[in-house]
Amino acid sequence: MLKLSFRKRLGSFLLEIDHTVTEKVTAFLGPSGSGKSTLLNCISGILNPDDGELLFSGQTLYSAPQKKCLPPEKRQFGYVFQEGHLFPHLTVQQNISYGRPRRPNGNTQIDMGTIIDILEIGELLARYPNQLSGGQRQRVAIARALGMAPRLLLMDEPLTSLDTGLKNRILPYLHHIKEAFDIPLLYVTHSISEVMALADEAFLLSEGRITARGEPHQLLASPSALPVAQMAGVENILSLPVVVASEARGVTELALGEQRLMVSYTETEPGSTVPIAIRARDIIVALDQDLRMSARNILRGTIRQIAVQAGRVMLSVDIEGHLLSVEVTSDAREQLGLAEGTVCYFIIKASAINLLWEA
Amino acid sequence: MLTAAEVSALVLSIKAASLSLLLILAPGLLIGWILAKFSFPGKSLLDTVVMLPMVLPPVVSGFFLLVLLSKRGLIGGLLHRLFGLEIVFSWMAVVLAISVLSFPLLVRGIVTAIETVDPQLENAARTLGASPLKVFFTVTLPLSYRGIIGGAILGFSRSLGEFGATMMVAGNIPGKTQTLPLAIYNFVQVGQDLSAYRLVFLSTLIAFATLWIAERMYIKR
Repeated sequence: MLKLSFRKRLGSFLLEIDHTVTEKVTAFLGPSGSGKSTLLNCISGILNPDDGELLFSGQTLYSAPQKKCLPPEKRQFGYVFQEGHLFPHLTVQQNISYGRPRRPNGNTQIDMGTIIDILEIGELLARYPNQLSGGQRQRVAIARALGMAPRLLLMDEPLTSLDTGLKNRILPYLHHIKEAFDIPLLYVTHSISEVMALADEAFLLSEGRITARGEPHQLLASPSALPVAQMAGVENILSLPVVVASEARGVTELALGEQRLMVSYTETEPGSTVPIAIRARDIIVALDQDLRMSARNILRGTIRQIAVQAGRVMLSVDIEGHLLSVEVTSDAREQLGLAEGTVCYFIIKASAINLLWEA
Repeated sequence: MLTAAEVSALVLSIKAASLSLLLILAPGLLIGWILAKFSFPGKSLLDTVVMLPMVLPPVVSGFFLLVLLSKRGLIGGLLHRLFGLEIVFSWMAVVLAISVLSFPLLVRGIVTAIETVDPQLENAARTLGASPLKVFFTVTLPLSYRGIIGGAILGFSRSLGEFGATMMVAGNIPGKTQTLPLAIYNFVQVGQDLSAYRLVFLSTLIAFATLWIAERMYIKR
């Protein structure tokens, strides 16, 4: 669908991409400075690559050998900017109509009324951008990009400028958009939870290059995602199936092979998978199972590998086929006599397990 | 009250300055936009040529105009052959002289105003399907019009005060090419102090008012 094969140099930074995007919702995940915005600017036509080519559904957007370059206004790609960039001199109504095509361009399913309904901005139409809150502004920015009936929707960290509460309120809107409109969505973010929540396929971007790609749950549970996980300060990312979700008990039980992991209650269907993150230092190691304590998660596993780096002892632990990183002090390692092959119990407080996806 | 000579000087000045503003506004917007938005070889040369009248002695600018606009000059000769126009020492020469001299101030104001518009807003408009021209009229201009009006007002006041270039290319013909500053000079020369005082007062009043409005345009955003 979208063939990206180009290079773009900005000062000493080099973005070099050679991949094809095929899924409906694609996320590019990477830390700031990894080239995410440059990538979107090249796709939208705001920036021109130095070399290579860009194709969308067979149409040439940019081609160095053919000396061809389609200007942004001819690409019909909606672009939701990180800071919104609403036109300050226009009302919300005028903003969202700005890109409205004069003649229907085939994407007839995109109806302004539907957009306004889905994003719940009907009340805001007469206001100016400076009379909107951060979350409202971002919703209007999304509506403006959808209003042009785009062939592709680009989003640059659409939720980053919002605080967590607002994020969780906007995410469902993005879900609605994904379901309601047949528009491929390509977005960049440094948030693992956003990727988990929306994307069909994710690319890891690091220093201008794609280091890994795949289905988000698999990708983030794989070792190639380690840089991203560490960037977020999380060593363990797992996708686990739900066994029971009990609102009355306030817990959701996840299956780790035959064993169970309790996390705080979240509204999910049994059988669906939930991505979770656990920091290596939040896991406690014990040699006995029958300790009397409040922590509900006591998992049995085997130490596969011990690595010492910068004074930290990192255990690589196999729990029912899942590899987890556990951090202990060297004192603890000596006193407990931890060695490769030792079977021990791993204690995790439910509150130390972060759900990466909020329904 | 004002004498007929004083009134005609005042009216000519205001008419010429207004006409000049109409004449240079569109080219000023175009060149200001080009200077603010594009980089190309020869850009600093264009910038220098446009700004030159701001630093040249007005008499020198006037001399260049005289050479260009006279019946044997490059532009004057052409206009004479085609339309039988004689520019030099006419009201048209007044308009052209003050246009050239106030153009740099107008362009400066426009460039500054356009540069204050966030380029990301213009990029956003492009992605929404707007051509560069549509972006200019629907985003750039509405967001920078205050600064542009401010620049136009400054150019207008500069026009009202022009002396040297006008003298060179249009002369100092009462009732025909004698603008406000030229009339003041004349009245002082022939000892009509009262007339000179009245026109000096008027000039100061106009300058104060225009500058005050221009300042308010810049500050109130």
